[in-house]
Amino acid sequence: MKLIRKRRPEDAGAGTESVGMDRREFLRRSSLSAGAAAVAGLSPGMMRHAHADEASGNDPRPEVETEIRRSICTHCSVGCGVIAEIQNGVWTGQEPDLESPISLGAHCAKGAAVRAHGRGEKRVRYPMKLVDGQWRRVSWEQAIEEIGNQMLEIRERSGPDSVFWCGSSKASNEVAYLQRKFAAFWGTNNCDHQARICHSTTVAGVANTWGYGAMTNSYNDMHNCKSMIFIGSNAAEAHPVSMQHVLRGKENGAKMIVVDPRFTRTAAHADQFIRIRPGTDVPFTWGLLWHVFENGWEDQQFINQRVYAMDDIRAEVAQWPPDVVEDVTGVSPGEMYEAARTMAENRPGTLVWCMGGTQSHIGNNNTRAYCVFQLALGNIGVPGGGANIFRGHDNVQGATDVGPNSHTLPGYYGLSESSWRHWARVWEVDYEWLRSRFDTSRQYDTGAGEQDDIMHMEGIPVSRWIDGILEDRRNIAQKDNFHAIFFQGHAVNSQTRGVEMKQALEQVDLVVVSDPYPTHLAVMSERQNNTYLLPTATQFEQAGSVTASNRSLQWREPLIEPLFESKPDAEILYLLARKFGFAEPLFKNITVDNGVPRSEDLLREINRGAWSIGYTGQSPERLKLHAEHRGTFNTTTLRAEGGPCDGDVYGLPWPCWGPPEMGHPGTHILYNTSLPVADGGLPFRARFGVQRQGQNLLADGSWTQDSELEDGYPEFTYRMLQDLGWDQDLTEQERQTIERIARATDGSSSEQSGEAGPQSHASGTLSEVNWKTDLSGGIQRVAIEHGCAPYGNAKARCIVWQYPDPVPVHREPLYTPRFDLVSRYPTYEDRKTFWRLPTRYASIQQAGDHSREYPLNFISGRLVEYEGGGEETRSVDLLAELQQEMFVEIHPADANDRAIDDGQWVWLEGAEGGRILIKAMVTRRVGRGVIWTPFHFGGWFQGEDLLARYPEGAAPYIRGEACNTATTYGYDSVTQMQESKATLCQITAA
Amino acid sequence: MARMKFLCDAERCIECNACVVACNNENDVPWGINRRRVLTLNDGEPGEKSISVACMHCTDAPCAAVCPVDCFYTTTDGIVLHDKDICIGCGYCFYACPFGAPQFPEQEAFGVRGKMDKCTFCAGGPPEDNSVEEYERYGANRIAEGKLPACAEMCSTKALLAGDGELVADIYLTRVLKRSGRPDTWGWQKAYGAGLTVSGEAS
Amino acid sequence: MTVRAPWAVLLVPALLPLAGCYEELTPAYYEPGEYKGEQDPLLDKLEHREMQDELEQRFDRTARDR
Repeated sequence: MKLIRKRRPEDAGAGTESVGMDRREFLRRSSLSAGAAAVAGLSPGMMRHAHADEASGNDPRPEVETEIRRSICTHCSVGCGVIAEIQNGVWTGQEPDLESPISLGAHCAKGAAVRAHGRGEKRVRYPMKLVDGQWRRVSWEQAIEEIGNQMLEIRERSGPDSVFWCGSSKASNEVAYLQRKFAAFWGTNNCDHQARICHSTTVAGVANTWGYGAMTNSYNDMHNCKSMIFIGSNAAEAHPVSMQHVLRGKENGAKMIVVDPRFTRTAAHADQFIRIRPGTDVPFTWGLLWHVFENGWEDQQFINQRVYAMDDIRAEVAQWPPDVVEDVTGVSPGEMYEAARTMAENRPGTLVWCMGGTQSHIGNNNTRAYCVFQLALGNIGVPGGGANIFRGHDNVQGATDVGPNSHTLPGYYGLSESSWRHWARVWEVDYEWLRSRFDTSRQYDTGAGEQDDIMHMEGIPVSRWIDGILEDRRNIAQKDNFHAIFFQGHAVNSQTRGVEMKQALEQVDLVVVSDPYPTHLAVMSERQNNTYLLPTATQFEQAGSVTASNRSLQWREPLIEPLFESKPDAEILYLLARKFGFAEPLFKNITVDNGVPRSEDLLREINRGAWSIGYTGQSPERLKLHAEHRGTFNTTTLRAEGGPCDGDVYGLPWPCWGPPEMGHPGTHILYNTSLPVADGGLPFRARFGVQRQGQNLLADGSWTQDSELEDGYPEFTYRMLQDLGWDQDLTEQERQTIERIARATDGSSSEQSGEAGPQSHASGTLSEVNWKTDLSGGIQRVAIEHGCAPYGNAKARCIVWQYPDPVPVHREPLYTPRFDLVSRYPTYEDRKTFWRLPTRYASIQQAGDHSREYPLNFISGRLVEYEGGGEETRSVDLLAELQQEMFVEIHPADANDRAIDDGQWVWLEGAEGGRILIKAMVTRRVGRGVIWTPFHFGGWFQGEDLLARYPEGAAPYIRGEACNTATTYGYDSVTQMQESKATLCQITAA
Repeated sequence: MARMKFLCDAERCIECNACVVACNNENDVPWGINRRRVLTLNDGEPGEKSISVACMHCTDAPCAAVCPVDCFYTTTDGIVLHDKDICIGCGYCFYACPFGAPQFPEQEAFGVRGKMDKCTFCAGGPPEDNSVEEYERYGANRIAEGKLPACAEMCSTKALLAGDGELVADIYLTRVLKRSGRPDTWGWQKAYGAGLTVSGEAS
Repeated sequence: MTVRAPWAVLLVPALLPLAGCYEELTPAYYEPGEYKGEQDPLLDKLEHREMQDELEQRFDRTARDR
């Protein structure tokens, strides 16, 4: 009998609580049954939730007045509208948000279930601490007092870098921004969030190719595609509502190609499905480009005008003829040719990628290769084209832009002194005071052969926090190991090396979890004491803005009051800041209402500082106006047609230049030269200098519409305005602000995304104040008035000379099934200090052929019902019911080799020895030699259900093994992204 | 007069289960019972297709034809509903239904079925519209509020269409035309006795 | 059609405690195909043109790609 994936075998007790049988099982049985008895005799457990529902009183009542409130779904980055019906403060109903130009009323399973968040059945209800292995209720005062005292003591003893502050991609822009600012005031760069393990390689790779590391077009714009290629993206499960736009594009005639090791639900809708070996994205992309160059399909005019160093790519691509590509990727020459021709003949075409490409130790090479492919075809800067990078969490884009990143300040300003000075001005605090908050006792190894103040060094990223605890202190480039960790809105089961994570947790002094749910973090270790749970409100209980994948900002109003004793994230940070004694400077320009910092004020502060990416025009007032009139926006162009937002792009996608009063409409499609900058047009950014080795890096004969400078030009400074005679256009007030900045500081700020070298500016003069540091916005305004982009007009670059691999090249994964290829495509040498930590490459890959013991390729991905670490969605009955078990997909041949039956318990052992006990699902969805697991499960550890370790009543309905208990070492050579989409394992019958 | 119908466009259905959850959420259906479900054919292999299925509100509904106590009634626009006061839980409708729609949520020991429960096209049942009694026994009555079934209204890709058959056919055929393919109208002929291309079909 | 004798009317309640069960004594009779239940007030509402128009407009807003 063929079993479908979601079948729940009859004997499964695994990970379920008070569940008798799932719906599908029930239906399956009842439809097969011949007699009445077969549908009777179900477990009494199956009715329990109905009773829980009734008791909670969340049913709508006809006699009670209903209030309609609006928010944005808190699951993925599509940004679907949520309409809530509220009766007496209780969330009683949900309606489709038909006016949302992004979702048009649609939801996936997760979005259709959000009302359940209003019940919060499995929430942490009050602050708790672990005392001798038991959870004890404590008051908020006691919790903050005890946590605060310990942290201050740790800070005193081991320095401010000994606390790891993990923020969240699920927080609003305002809270994410506050998390970054909070870490700065505490005195450390050891703060990070989910983007590190999601799209950090995208952000770094893409920004270093053409300026900004974000989705260039939008979901809606996919109506305009003539072709689309998805590489390592399963949108049908990860971004379901995006498929509305994708399939509309397909109906409009677009050809759709899906490239994945797994035949996904997205692949089921494709015109062509290509199965590749995990971790071979660069050879695949160069293999496509080989056909493009071979047949002269490249857009030579576009390349001449707007692309630098394509010839270096040609040389590398020549190394990838069809037979070599087939050997490395497993894709036949015919398939490669067909895909290349489809993309060449059907332009504009878009390239979508997700974590299949990013989560690799050469993730930055993968993302740059994708960009180069699109540049070669001239697919960037046009409707229907673009690099449509689908981000993960609902606000991972916003938290990347302005939130807690260990390598930048808000707005990608980097960590140089001038960047700190810029933000000190915005925050209105003294730079020297800020500096004194950091460990200034000595300088540390930057990893680039230099010593520097720790304030200017990247912090330890979230992918490596366990090494911040476990690594020998002498090997870490900071004063001491981590002694406390604070996680606000983050699921640790999404990070690799679970076995070592448990060890790290048992070693660290203090653990604080600020979350609506206990999370896997609270239960996975055998800690007995000094662990705190702080009940934190969900985003449905808070106001704030959220940035969708397409860079549009949407405003959320709170739907209900925080449940139980929960507090909003910002209030918790406020309480801690007060305890630490820096609440006053931290909230200097922020109104605090009854302990809750006001979101609108936080957004206005972001508006005043984030000039580099145009987060300046999106005032709370404009965002609220867009929310109110969202029905006036065109669903393809995202432009308002009439009404009070006429001409604006929905959600003012960044860059939205200048102050809000300038009324910039936002930028729907990045690098579109057919529009004036004032109307959302842009060239590629001049970010990498003006010349290199005698070659011009600025654009040649290409400029945005109505530009007064009809050629390439560098980024705008005050001096450039003077040279052009445009400084006369500045208002007196603007000039005064610019003069004040020049006087007060040494001038410029160098923005850097990730690791590309900061631009060096001469400092200390008026003329060097630039478009990023001018707090008046005058330089931006005048440049745009003359039709110019504040950031200059340059070429996109195909090589990043600061990176370990200037030209993106292939390197075999650390744990490769093709050890024979390691000599030809080896990884990097080990590094002594990289993001403060020793980082291993060759010593793992070349230690021997790991595939002898662990022959199966191990990859992971998403299920539509759950999101991220899954703690929240597995705690929602409506969703939990549909996915009750952790499982592994295995090809029939691999199952037969191991005498494994469908539905059988198996042990999956990762190449570093982590073992998980899960159910086998035998399916041809995966290819031979490849296995796949979902990554949303938690609450089990190496065969043991951790139910007893949860606070009473707070365990999710569904628990299961976290796949990352069995994943392995491996980190991107630029961003420290984990290599979780190409590792090895073995499976045996349990 | 409108004739309400469901159609699931298999080319657009991505098996995201939004319809299932929207239904359970809107109608507060207990854990373990499904008025709607998504079925996948050729799961994990080329040719994989998903469709969302619930009561199709058939013309000449077989459930009504076999019901020994005649608890079924049909609204003027073709929505098939039933009265749980009369239903004896015999299960004949379950065997007659080509779509497996009838469910029996009130299970007891020794094989006694409770009242039948099924998709109401979000039109509730005989009690007063949008009363507590109607909600608790039959679920939401969106039709009385001028709205359409929650499953279709929230469908992630607008694969599931619910509304007047002619309007549904109009949208669907436009899509088919755009795709230049053949219509793949799963269940339509079975439920409504006529193909989609016949215009102005009788209800 | 069952004809109940007067003695049976007396006897059945008397036997009930012994039988330990209860049986409905007034069975209903149905003509096949004719609905016997309570009248649904929705049926009247659906007769109105305004209601039909409202549903039609709703369909346009919810189902059409716009």
